[in-house]
Amino acid sequence: MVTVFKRKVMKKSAYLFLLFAISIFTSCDTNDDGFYNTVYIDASNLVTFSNQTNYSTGDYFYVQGVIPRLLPEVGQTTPVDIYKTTNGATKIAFSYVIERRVNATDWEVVSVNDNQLDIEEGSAQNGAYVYGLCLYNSTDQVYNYRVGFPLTAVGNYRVSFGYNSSSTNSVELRSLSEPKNLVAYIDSSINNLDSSGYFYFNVN
Amino acid sequence: MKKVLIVALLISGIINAQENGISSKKNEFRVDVFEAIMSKKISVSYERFLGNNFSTGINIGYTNSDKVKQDFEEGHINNMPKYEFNPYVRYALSKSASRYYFAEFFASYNGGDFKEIIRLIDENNNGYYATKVSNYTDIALGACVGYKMYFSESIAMEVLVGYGYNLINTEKSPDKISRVGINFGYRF
Repeated sequence: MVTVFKRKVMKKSAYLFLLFAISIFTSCDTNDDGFYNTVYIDASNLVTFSNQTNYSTGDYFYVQGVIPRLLPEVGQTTPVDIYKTTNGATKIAFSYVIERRVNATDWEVVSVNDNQLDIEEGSAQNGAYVYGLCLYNSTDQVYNYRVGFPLTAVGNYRVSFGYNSSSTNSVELRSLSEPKNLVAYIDSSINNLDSSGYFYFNVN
Repeated sequence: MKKVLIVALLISGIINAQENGISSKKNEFRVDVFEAIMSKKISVSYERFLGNNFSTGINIGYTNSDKVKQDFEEGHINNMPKYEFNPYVRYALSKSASRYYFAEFFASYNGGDFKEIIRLIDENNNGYYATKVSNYTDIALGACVGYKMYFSESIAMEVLVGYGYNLINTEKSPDKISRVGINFGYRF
């Protein structure tokens, strides 16, 4: 009889704990999920590259980012001040991937050491993708990036800008803002990409 | 056999005496220790026992959690609940007065801070975005279930879980409010 009573108590306690646990885990929502410090801005051609399709080994493939502090904004009569919006963010990040064809159907990411990159403006790190940072120049009030990627081997290459994004024909740039400041999330269309989001070139 | 019967009667008598003692006390104050520890929320309740398994009361809560404040400032949430007044009606689902399940219906007048991003024009006629924090208030309706037990006729412990939905100002207020707690109280 005591065993039955204990079982009943344990069963009730288990139900209560279950109810309680479910409640705790589901009661964290205080509105729709999302990131409420982000400003979304559409732009075009903030990131460019040469449409040259033939290179030689030893050449560099340059990607350039030029993001003025003041960007025209669709639906607005005045430009938006990125620097002021982000409360003085000095870096805007984006990424791209350079791949080389290894057989008829497969491509591999080309990886080089960071010190092999020709960094003229901004900064960059290379791994599974190139992580580029456009750095703010307070004199001309522009975020700049120009980095050359070394083409060390003969082959068919392609570049794409959708590694960290859902878009194929644009690049997503994100200001590196301090935690409590607004983040500028800029979706910029890119010229010379095909419908799948690639630009192809050869190294001879 | 006789001894068992005597012990059973004795226990039954003690329980009945305790239940009668509890039932004769009509008021109760409680403090929510769970919310105090988990959310740095001060939550106090008063309950008046009306008889026929019904009771009514009010819960008052105020929170100023650093974690919620940080989430609010860093944009993980866009509203920060601060206070709530929750009048409620309860119905005891079990026969025992010393430990029982209950169902609760509550209303809630709740409020806090709401953050939105707005576009402004500066002195150079350039646009920029900034955050604007304002207050919100809303009214919610909801329901809970819980379990309550008494020790020494006066010391109460209860666990309750439930939800409510804000009805009027949901563009700014949380869609859903929770009513979760482990309360300790005194019945008199």
